[in-house]
Amino acid sequence: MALFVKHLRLGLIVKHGFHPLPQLTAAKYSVYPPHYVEPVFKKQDIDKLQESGEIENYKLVPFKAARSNDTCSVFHDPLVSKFINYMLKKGQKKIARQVLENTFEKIKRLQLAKYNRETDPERKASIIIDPVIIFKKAVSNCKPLLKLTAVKRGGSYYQVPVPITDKESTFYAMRWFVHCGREKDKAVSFADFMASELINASNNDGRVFKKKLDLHKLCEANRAYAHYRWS
Amino acid sequence: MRLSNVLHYRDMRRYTKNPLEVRFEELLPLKLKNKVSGKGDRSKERACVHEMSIMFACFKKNEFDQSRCSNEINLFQVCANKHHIEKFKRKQNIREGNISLGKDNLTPREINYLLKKHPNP
Repeated sequence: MALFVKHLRLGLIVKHGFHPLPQLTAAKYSVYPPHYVEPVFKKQDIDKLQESGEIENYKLVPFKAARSNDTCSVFHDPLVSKFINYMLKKGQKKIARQVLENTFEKIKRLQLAKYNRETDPERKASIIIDPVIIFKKAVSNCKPLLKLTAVKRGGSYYQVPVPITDKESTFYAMRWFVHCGREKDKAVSFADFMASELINASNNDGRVFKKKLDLHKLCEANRAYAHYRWS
Repeated sequence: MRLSNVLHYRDMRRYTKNPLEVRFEELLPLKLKNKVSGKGDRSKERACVHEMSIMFACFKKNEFDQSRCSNEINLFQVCANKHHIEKFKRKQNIREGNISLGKDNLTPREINYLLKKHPNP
């Protein structure tokens, strides 16, 4: 029996070493030429296009294939799937997704406990229980308005405040969440930490919100250099 | 034009001791060049700096509470967006070589294009 197991192990090594399984992921988006258009993968969106008659514009246009995680499920959210991409390590998307789902469950539990504890009906109505709404509110609360870039003037670098686009500020906010989650105490799980952090941020509080304030304060301190920037 | 004339400009001191003896010499051709340098193009004032300073003043007054400065923030973001779109358009025009003719406020690139077409006689 032991011999058999040994052989089996050897066989597995050989299998993984020389004949890896064919990859089941979609082709990388960089293979498409620039005239290919982003896919419309939600059925609701396609219906909308059909109603407004805009679908005529899409008829003769080549499309990219939809990504493997693009679905028209009601649980799919572009912001959430972006966040999963930002928090994953070494392409382990399944684990990242599970962790975020775990986080959402914890948020819901925390908020439900709060909801059940509350006796005042007015306050009770104001408590948000949907974790996705809390997540979106937290991210939008932590979006910075400016960023600092180094500009060389007269031999030394100055930190110059520069306005940023909406996409970039969303990225900054999400990255801060992920970084805060990685800097946490080892005794606390990522999901636990993230759940409390997201709830705090949705109430304009917590570490990430403080990070944004710190950036704004730095920008305010360096406002004298604002005319140093290019363009 | 001989370059040595310009390089040996210092030697002209020899005969400038007496101002009546100064001879006129055409070191550089006495006409305008067929191109302009683009240095004057960039305006000194950067876009949205004024809006930014107003926003910071509001932030300082309200201890960085964004909800109380929503008007100032909105103005700043509208300005930044507008500037972003303009910058993109400008870059696209340069890339595609588009030239807006018949305008009174020409960019150095457009002036150079026109001067190349109709050079100084």
